[in-house]
Amino acid sequence: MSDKAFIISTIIVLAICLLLTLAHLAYIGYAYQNSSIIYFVSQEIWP
Amino acid sequence: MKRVAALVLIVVMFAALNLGLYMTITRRLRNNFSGADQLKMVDVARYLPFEPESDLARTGSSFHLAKSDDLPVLDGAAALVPVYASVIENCYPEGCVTYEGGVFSDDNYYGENFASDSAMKYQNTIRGFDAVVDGSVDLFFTAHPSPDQMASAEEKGVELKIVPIGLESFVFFVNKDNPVDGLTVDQIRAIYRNEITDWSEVGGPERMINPLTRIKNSGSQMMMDKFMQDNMFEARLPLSIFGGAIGYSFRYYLSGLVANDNVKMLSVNGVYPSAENIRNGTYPITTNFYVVYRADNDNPNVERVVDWLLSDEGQQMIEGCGYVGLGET
Repeated sequence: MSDKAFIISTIIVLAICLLLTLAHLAYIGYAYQNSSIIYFVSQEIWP
Repeated sequence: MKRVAALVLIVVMFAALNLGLYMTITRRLRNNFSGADQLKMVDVARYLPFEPESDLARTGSSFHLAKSDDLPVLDGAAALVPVYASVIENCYPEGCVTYEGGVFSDDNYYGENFASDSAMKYQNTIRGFDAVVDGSVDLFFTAHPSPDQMASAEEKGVELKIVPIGLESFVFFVNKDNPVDGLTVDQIRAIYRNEITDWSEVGGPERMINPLTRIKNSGSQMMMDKFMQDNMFEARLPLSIFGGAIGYSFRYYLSGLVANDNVKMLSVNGVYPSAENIRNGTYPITTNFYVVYRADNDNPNVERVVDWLLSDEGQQMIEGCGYVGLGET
């Protein structure tokens, strides 16, 4: 893999991963405001 | 080869981050009754009047309204659906609860399809309160309206009658595996003021506390505001979402309607919120629940229904729903 191809590939992979993570965080932000607090507590994991 | 491995490593790191978020937060975000939607807080299908399988208090009544009467329209908070549905079951004529399309359905946006001429509605606390103020609902079953709601009614020139009809306790709950079984009133207030931020400060393991709140003007949030004496944090600590959560609700909603075995109610000041401890007054956070109606409502059956609720028969029905009646104090 050439330097140029590696840099472009890295940028594309990072961009896709960041976008997916941001979408996940946005969903959490929305759903956290609207979910049941009882269900949220019931699914908590304690060691 | 090393460059390909580097790219794979980036993907794996992001995947691990998202998996961690999913396990700690995302998978816990849903409603007890309908996906991620806090508006649907009760399975109304379980409490439809005149359905043999409904889970209602059929305690009987010597007071009956006829089809030809001007039937008061009833609405209420999620936790009080069994109460006002039982009023209809015991006192109203069959056929007075109607649905758009003729059959009950709970798959529209708000969950239920009561028709405009139905004597039973379910709009929950926020929309239901507005409905009693604008006159489209006659009797509204609820926790005490918030100062904002009272001010809103006053602005519209509407005088409300707020009549206590029963007792309920306000409870705090945690996951069943949380080692903490009880808190004091002062500890709870300190948690919701960000003064206590870790379970180790109240006898538990070292883990941040995630103090959950509810939407403004919901019944439980109005009660919480009162409990906190209007001195509650503006926001939780940002990382507390990863901590061990504590939440609040009304006892019957938690133990009767949702009945989730993976959460447990906490004792407060050493007293567990059992029905017995509400009756004998030892549980410290007990409150009334109410029926609210417009003072200028000229339907004579509104006050007749309220009088029945306060009678021995009405109080027996409230007990039959799992609440505590006024006469038991």
